[in-house]
Amino acid sequence: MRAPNTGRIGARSAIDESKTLEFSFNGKRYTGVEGDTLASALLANGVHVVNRSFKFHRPRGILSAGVEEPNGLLAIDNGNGWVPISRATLVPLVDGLEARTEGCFPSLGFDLARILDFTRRLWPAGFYNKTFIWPRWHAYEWAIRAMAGIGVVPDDGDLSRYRHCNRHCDVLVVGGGPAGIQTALDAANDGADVLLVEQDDRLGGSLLFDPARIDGRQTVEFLADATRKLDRLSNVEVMLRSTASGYYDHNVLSVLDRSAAERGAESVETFWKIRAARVVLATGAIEQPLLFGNNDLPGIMLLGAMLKYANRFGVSCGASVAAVVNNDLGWRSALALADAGVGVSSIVDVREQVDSALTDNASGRGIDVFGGVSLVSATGSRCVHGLTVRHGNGRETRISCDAIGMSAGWNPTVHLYSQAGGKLRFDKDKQCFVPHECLQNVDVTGAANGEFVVADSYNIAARDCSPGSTSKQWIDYLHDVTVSDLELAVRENFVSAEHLKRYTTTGMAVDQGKTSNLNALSVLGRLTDREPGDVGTTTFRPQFMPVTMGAIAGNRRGEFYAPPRLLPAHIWHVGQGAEFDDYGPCKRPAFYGAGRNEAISREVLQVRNSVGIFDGSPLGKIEVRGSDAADFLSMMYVNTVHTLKPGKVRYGLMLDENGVVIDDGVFIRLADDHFLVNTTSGAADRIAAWMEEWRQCEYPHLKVIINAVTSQWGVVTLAGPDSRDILQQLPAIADLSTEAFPHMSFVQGRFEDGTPYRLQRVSFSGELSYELSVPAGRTQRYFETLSQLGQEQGIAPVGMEAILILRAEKGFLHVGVDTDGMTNPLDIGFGRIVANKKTDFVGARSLRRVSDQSDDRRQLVGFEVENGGTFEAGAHFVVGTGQGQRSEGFVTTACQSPTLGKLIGLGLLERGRQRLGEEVHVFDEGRITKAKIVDPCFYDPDGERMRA
Amino acid sequence: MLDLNAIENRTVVMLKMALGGAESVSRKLGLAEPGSMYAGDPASLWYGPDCWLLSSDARSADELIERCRQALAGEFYTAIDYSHALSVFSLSGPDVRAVLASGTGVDLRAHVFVPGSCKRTRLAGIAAIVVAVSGHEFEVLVDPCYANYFHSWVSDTASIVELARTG
Repeated sequence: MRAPNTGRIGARSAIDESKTLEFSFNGKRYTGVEGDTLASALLANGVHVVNRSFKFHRPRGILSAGVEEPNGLLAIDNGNGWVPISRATLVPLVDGLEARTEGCFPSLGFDLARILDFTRRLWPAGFYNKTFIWPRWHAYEWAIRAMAGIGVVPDDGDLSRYRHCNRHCDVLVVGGGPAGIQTALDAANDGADVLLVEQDDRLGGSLLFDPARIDGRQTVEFLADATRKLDRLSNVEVMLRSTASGYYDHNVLSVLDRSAAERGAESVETFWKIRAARVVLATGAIEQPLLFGNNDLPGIMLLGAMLKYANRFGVSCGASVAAVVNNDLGWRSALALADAGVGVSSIVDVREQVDSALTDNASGRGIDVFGGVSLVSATGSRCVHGLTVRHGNGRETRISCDAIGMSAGWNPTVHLYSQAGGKLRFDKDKQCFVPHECLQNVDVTGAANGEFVVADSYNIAARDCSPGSTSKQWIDYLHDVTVSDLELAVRENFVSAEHLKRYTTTGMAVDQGKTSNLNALSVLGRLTDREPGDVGTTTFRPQFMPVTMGAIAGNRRGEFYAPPRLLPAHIWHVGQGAEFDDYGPCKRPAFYGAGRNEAISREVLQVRNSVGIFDGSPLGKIEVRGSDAADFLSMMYVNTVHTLKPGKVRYGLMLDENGVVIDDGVFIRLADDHFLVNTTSGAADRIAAWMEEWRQCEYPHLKVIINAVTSQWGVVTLAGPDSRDILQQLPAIADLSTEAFPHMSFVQGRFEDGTPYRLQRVSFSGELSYELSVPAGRTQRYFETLSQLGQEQGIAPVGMEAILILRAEKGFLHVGVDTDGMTNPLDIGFGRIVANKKTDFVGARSLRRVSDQSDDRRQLVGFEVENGGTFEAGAHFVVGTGQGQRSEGFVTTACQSPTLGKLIGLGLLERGRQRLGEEVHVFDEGRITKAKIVDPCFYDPDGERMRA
Repeated sequence: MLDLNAIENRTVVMLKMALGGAESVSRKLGLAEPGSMYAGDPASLWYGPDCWLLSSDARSADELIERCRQALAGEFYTAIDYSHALSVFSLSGPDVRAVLASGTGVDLRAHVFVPGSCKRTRLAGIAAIVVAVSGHEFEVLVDPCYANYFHSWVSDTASIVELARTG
């Protein structure tokens, strides 16, 4: 087998041949030089097969030298863990780099799955939708899933660190080629704060390898001069190795910064979110491949890429290169390639008319010229050996070569422009899509705007497939899509560009159609008798280039994934042996000590029999003040507000406009014009915002100011028959006797040390209970003090789980648990309070709807299970059997009551309140358990204990 | 390169009023302009069109509230001790803007977020007030329940920023 004669042909300024770098590819060791990319180093080492294709496992070589590479997608480890689907054309070579091919078995050289290529007719586009139907898709799914995919998610550690960062600028220039550099200089000279983003490790773009002249100067001179000027300007920042990957509304762009990504364990990737007043896209253009048989053979590359490898990296991609072109710029590249010392043996042009100056130039160098021919097929199996062309008279000629350089013209890199919402226009003269109009403040300049080296002629021919078999003319290298796949799609009437994309997968995924879209649309146009411009384009999506998952996550992972809300006395709870759990946004003690169930039971009985100490700090606290405070709260609550006297506490239920219960809690009148509202812990922020919205938007005429003070106050709750004895020992506390301070009372004052306190006698456990609020920073001190004072009574800390059982035993509502998004106050037994309310309130109108007043609604009930059966919240009350079985509601709370010694709970049951005493069936995980419907309150129904 | 310190015992009072009275209250107390912090004793931080934070290291909340009472006779307002509802951190050093920009979309460019600027924002996923004290010195106020988290986040981010810069 002959291989392309690739290799290093000489020194270039962008590489340092004195600094050699060791790397490995599929376990074999190679040497590159500083300045190389992985692709240039592989080519310099004569490695021409770098991967197997996605579907047919055909051998593939490097096609390009940039972002458009569809073949050289390798797994890379540069010392900080494997990263799949890395483009070898963009990976800077570092010493010790390891690269490997993924998805071939047993090896890159011999891949068993190549059988799919030899049986290719069986697997056309969309085959999986048709072929694997009998007996059922799932019988094949495992095998297809195992073979699908381009890379493998690494399961070893990732040593890189990741960061998000925000940046603003006046002008963001994307692309550091000649157009981008000039734009940045102009904007900076106008005084703008300019950010210039370039994905390469140096500025220059095409200037780094294209020997064209700018303003009559050599490109090298122009670049050196421009770089000097940029360096001198303090209002320009240049970000190298940074790829603008997404363009969003409001001129927000995401940029992946990999300037510190190749440092092994010290690697950092930064994902920037940049907000720019104005964006200029100077993203250049991508050379397109030509369509002919076997155009995917290793050794067939884009002509401009060959020039880049030669002039920038000193690497020849072949000793006998056939350049195949359809435009004048392709000729220029071919001649420049010859100038660079690469053996160009022939230039093949599909156009009838070619500028004689070009043909004469080529002939003068001894290059064979073929004009007005059709490309039939490349020959070779694992690499290219020749090219067969067909002349106008039907005669075919086989051109011998070891590499083919293709140029089907250029297509502006308009991905970001499209993401910005920009519309494209097909330019017939240039046979490409150029930016047309966009609502965002974005300009496009240079080749990205279709300005391909303006001074030269272009004269591009329309693109089409070649006359040979279409089943081996590759359109999308990455997804193994051929012209025949497009023909099939059109036969099946997938003639919209969007449908074609989905049916054939062309232009999808990490490639985003960089080398395939234009050819696909051209072929689709011909197949459906339309111009490419009439076919339209598909939508480009972020990200323009793959972004590592780590960069997307930034450092918002692990302990920073969801910021934990800690209690003010968190350290005290830790010292008490608390097991924490998440309750709403807070980390709270679930229980204390070992043995979950035993601990919870012990804590419940502790409260029932003596006294427990509990942290109620997350309880929502909102102060409402002003002469209209009572009027305002009266609108917020179902309950009557105006009759509440200062120093008194009342339970309140809050509804939304639909009459659905959204929160409950108590509200306290501190003074005629001053209320303190307690919300449930999980809804503290939401209800504060809810009330503020009503104040600002609906009741701006009311003289009310709302202050959320949840975080200002910590709450120490004492619950149990002995709680008063302990609390009364605090010096300077108010008289807590029932006569002076009955249930639902409030008092505030100061302790001897000046610490202000607020004390309310309320109960969520059904026992005598006090909630003592002190400034949050002093909460821990009062946990310590009260624990000390309560030693004689055997005081012990109580966690959330015990509190939730205590309230269930009392049948106290837990909004959001015992209610859902449809529950109204009538459903939970608040009909009398609604009827007694004399004034309007939010949700009142909705409660008068027939459906809200229906007796058939699900109503809150209690249930108990005597026979030792068990089930969990979420289980359904069911009637009927088999197909006739249906749900009548569901269990909202179920717990083993330590006080009552049986399973009890609450649920929402159709016509529930009419069914007290009825035996119902509860369905849970396939089992049926019998339960008895009872009143929701299981313990001390008259409330004597909490009023004691 | 970043120094991070918690400022203990900073008194903070939340001053709120009806929207229509904001101009009058602001004039009587000489409060900070929108989007800024007035550094006096007490300092005032613009918190919204109808609210400011008054803060002091020397005076108690009672003193600040009394001062409001004297100055704002006849005005409809509330002045509430907020000292325990906010933890104050001082961040200083050459990396301070880069570290903060890692967590917030506020425009922190030196010529935009000049000393005296004050913004409420979402920083590292939590509500925060960011104040530029000088070019390289900032104060950040967060809910104390997130104080541990914020401290860890700043330390971690600062180490990444330094690593990215120095290698």
